[in-house]
Amino acid sequence: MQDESILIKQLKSNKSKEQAFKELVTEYKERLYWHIRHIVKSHDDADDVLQNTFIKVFKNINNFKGDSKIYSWMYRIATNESITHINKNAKRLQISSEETQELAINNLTADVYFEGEYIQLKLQQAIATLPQKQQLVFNMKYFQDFKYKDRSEMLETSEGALKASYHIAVKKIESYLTSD
Amino acid sequence: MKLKDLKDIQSGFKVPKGYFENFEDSILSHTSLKEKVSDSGFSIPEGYFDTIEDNILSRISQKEPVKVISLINRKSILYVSSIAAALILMFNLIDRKAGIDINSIETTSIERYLSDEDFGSDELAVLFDYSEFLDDSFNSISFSEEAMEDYVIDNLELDDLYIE
Repeated sequence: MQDESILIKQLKSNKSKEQAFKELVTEYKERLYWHIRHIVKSHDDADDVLQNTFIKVFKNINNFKGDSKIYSWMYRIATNESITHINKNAKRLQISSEETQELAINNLTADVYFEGEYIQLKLQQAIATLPQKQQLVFNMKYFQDFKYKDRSEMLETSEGALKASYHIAVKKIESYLTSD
Repeated sequence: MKLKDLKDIQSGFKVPKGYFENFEDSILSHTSLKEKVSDSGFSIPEGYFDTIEDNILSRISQKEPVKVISLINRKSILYVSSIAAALILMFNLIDRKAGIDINSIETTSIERYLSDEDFGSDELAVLFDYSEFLDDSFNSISFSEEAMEDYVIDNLELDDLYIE
C-alpha cells in the first residue's frame, strides 16, 4: 500500500475518494474482520459490523485528524461498532449484553462457520468471563498478535497497563480451562 | 574521565518493578495456553473476502433514501388536537367567567329548556313581578288582525275554543 498520508489525502478528495477507499478496504478487510469476529463471535454479525465500520470510515474520513494512524482509528470504530451491535442485540432480545455474549457462544455449537472442538468452545467461554476491555486485550494479543505499541494506540491505554492486563487475562483463562 | 571511574556510574536504565520475578511466569502461561488452544476455531464462507469490497462499495453508492417527515402523523395530530381542546376549554371558561346574561342566550334555547324541564305554570309565575303585568305593557303591543287569525289557526284546536 502507498504512503498513508497520500492515501488519506486521496480519501479526502472527492475525485479520488472511491479508488482510495477501495484500496483501504483491500488492505484492512481481513484484519478488521477478525478483530470484529472475536468480539461478536458469529460470521453474520461480523459481516454486518465490518460493512458498517467501513461505511462509517467512508462517511467520516473528513473528521479524521491524523493524530493517530488510520488503522488505529479504524480499529476504534470497529470496536465501538461491535460493542454497539452486541448492545443492540441485547436490547432486541431484552437481555443483558453479557447474556447476549453467552448466547452467541452457545450458538457456536450449531454454527457452520465454527470448526472448533470442545477446547476452543471452552476458550471462548473463558474469554467471556473477562471484563470487556480485558477481552479486547486478550483477543488482540492471543489471536491477532498485535504489538503492544499498536494495541496501546488502538485502546488508548499505556503499554505497561496492557501487558499487566494480558498477563492477568491469561492466568484467569488458564484457571478456567483447568477447573474441570 | 577514566574507564575506572565509569564503572561506578549507574547506566540509568530501569526495569518495571517485579519484571524479572514475573518474566518466566508471563512467558510460560502464554505458551502453555497456546499449546492447549492454538486457534479460535472460527471459519468464514468460501470467497468471502473476495466479495466484501463490492458489497461495501455498492452500499456506499446507493443513495440514501431521503427521510420524509409527514406533517400529518399520529403524533402531531395528537399534539395539535390536545392544544385545540385546551384552547377551546380555556375560552369556554373565560367566557363563563365573563358572565352570561339572559340577552346572550337564544330565545329558542330558553324555550326548549323550559319545556324539557317540565315547569308548572305556578313555578313560572313566581318568576314574574306583578308590576310587569301593567295594562300599559300590553296596550303598547298591537297585533294585526291577520296575525291573530294565523295564530289561532296554527295553535288552537277546535276543542280549545269550545272550552273558552
